Amino acid sequence: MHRRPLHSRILADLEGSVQYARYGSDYVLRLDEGEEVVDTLRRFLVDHDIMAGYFVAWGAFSRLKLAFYQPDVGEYKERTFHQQLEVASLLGNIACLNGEPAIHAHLTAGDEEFRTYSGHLAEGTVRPMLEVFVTPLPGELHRIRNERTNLAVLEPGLPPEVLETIGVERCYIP
Amino acid sequence: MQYEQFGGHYVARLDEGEEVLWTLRRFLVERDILAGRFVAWGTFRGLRLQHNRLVGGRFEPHILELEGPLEVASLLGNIATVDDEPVLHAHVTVGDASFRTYSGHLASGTVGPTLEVVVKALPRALHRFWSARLNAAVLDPEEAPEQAERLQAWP
Repeated sequence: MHRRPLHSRILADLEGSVQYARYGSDYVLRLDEGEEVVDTLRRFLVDHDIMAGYFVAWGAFSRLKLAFYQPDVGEYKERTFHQQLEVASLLGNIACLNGEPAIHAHLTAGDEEFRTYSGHLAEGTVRPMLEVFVTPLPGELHRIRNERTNLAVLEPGLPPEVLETIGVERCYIP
Repeated sequence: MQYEQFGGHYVARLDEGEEVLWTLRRFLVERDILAGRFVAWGTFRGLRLQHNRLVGGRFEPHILELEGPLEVASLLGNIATVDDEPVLHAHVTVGDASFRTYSGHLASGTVGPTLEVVVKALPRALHRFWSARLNAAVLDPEEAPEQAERLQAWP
């Protein structure tokens, strides 16, 4: 458990780290008001050498940017919601892109009239909190950018020598 | 379908044009996975959603056909066997270009351009039995001590 006394937690917040506990190989995190979900999670993954895995989250956002991939043009269409939204479902996976862990998450969020909006998570500002359960997988997963489709394509099962040959930057975390 | 094993987990990628249930079932047969659950992310270019009405205690399926592209907001499924063959039971929420949501039982889905899947395999078989009364395959979890050996050998 990493529950620190209040004063050190405040210091930790200043340094931008999140409160978390470890259960076997799984992690439970709490993100607080104002945190950017994608940035905060990515920083956590770097700090904990997590290069493959998946996660589930519960909570709410005060601002949310959803994206929708348009296969015909190879571009994302985006919409930003400036309102309080409840996370109905937030599922994400973790893989390496350009030598750093990247998250790929989709979600459904509900507004105050219980209407839902669904799509690819581009950005989200937490309010008041977000609870995240992360299941790391033992090893590394890679994504390789496809210039034609503009997608970072997941490449499970590529042997290390193939990754080296095609010049994939491995997730190296000092 | 391209995949990699991580202990009891598998991470897979399905590509353009693959039908999700058929492709995953073929993978489960190949890897002898008879129980588990999965999560998926990606896009469908075509989707058939099923909604079951209960009429006189019996499921009456209705299908909604949706044209893509549709973003998979949540795709959660389980894996069990009917007559020793693995079958998938999955529910899905998708969003369209205006971020509007549709949800239901996944009847079939054509991937486009990709679908990423994380499968967590469970170490012994899980069964369903057919209920003519309900018109559905009912999950039947039970302990099976004779399968302890298989459990021991699991990664």
